[in-house]
Amino acid sequence: MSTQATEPAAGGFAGDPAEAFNPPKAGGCCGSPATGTGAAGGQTEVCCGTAAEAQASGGCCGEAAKAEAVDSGAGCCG
Amino acid sequence: MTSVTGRPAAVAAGLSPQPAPMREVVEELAADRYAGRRVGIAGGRAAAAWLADLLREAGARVRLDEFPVTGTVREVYGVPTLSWPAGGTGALVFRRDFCEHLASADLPDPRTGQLSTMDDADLTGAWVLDGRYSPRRAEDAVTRGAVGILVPRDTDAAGWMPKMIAGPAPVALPVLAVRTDLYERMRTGAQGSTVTAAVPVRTVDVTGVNVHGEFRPPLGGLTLLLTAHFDGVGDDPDGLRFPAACDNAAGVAAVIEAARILHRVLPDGIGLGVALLDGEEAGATGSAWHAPTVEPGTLVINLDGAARLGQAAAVEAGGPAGPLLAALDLAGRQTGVPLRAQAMPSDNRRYAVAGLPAVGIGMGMPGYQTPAENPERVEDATLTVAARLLTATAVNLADGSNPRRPDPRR
Repeated sequence: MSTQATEPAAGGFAGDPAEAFNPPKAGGCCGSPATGTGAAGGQTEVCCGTAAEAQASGGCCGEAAKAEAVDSGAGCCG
Repeated sequence: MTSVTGRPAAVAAGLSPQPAPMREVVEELAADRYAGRRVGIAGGRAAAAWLADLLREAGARVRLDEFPVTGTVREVYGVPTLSWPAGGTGALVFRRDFCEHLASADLPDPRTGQLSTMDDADLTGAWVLDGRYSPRRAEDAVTRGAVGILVPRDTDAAGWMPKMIAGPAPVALPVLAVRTDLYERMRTGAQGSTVTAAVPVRTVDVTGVNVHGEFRPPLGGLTLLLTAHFDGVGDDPDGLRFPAACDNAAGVAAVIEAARILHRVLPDGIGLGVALLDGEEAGATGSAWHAPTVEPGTLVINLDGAARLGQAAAVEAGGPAGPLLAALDLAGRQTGVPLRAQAMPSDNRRYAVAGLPAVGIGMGMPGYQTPAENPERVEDATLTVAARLLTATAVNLADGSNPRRPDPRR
């Protein structure tokens, strides 16, 4: 059992909450930390894409970002 | 700066979230008997049944809803192998040194071939090292007589290759992802040596099951739906466990705890439901099935990851979620939980696509989709603040306490 404390200093959004409607691309997949794909230029996998890309594809992940993540060998959550 | 107003009624009533029942949920769902809770397996169905009982005990009216998952789930049905005698590495270890590529063809029996690259003139009978893999290049390799493809892949900080199961249609060749440094050794100076590999992987069609708990029926006014997925990626055939404690037993635990509290403190007339979703790891198929059936206007809060808050909770909003986002922002300030706009590609996106106001919240997934994602990685403190944030948000919505006026266009 973990008892490690998590004590945030101040709550809520530091900036405009409306930014949550168009947040930056996920650095990893489904909120996970990113893992790189190394040899192919050292790029970081970008699974899922932006909310707008996902909306355009009618799904959970943008099609292009999903294909990129799968092709890299890392896979995609959806 | 807007001042913090209001105080969550749940806190005022002494109904703060308790870590003990949440930890019980996390440890139960991470147990061996559920085998990693992949959609469509017996362990996943058993987890759904256990959660249904838990919701009933908490006072909810429970309904199980099955749905098909077709053409998506890539199942490793045997242990993939890879050996490279010339490398002097001994037996290579699945998920440490290499793993299946989601677009791989099924290769049940080992196949030996020379190491080559796409630049080589003759690929007949070769395993091709390709750092620029794409389906088109795979087709090219097939045409040129290759027997398989190897691509580079890094590991996480603990040396694991996280497991995923939602895959595209397979290509015509077996494909393995090889740890980057090993791949580089194969590529530089080792060509002409041979590798032998098997990739027993197939696409399976399965049935998922969502668990719905109605704590308070919708009465035409405000209705809140708390969601979290309970499925994982499933254990490997060699017994390697994927407990999925952080992603997302922790989220399920916090949602249930928040619902228990809200069931007691929300004013009459406010609807409250919980959807514990299957198939998120298979393309958010559970929420895709459910979202179109949800009553328009229902406010959806999805929690995916509640194990280690870190600097701030990630928040993504979709649909007409302005008032919901404002209530969440206020709740963050009331409870001391920092929030940050960050992509949350999870079930919340399915509800947003269906036109519902939806926010996705993430509070960390250490050990993401590896055997290291066990209950010990889930912080009690994060479980508690997650449940508190959900509870306070719901109470704020019920109170209509939105000091940051929402954009009416949202």
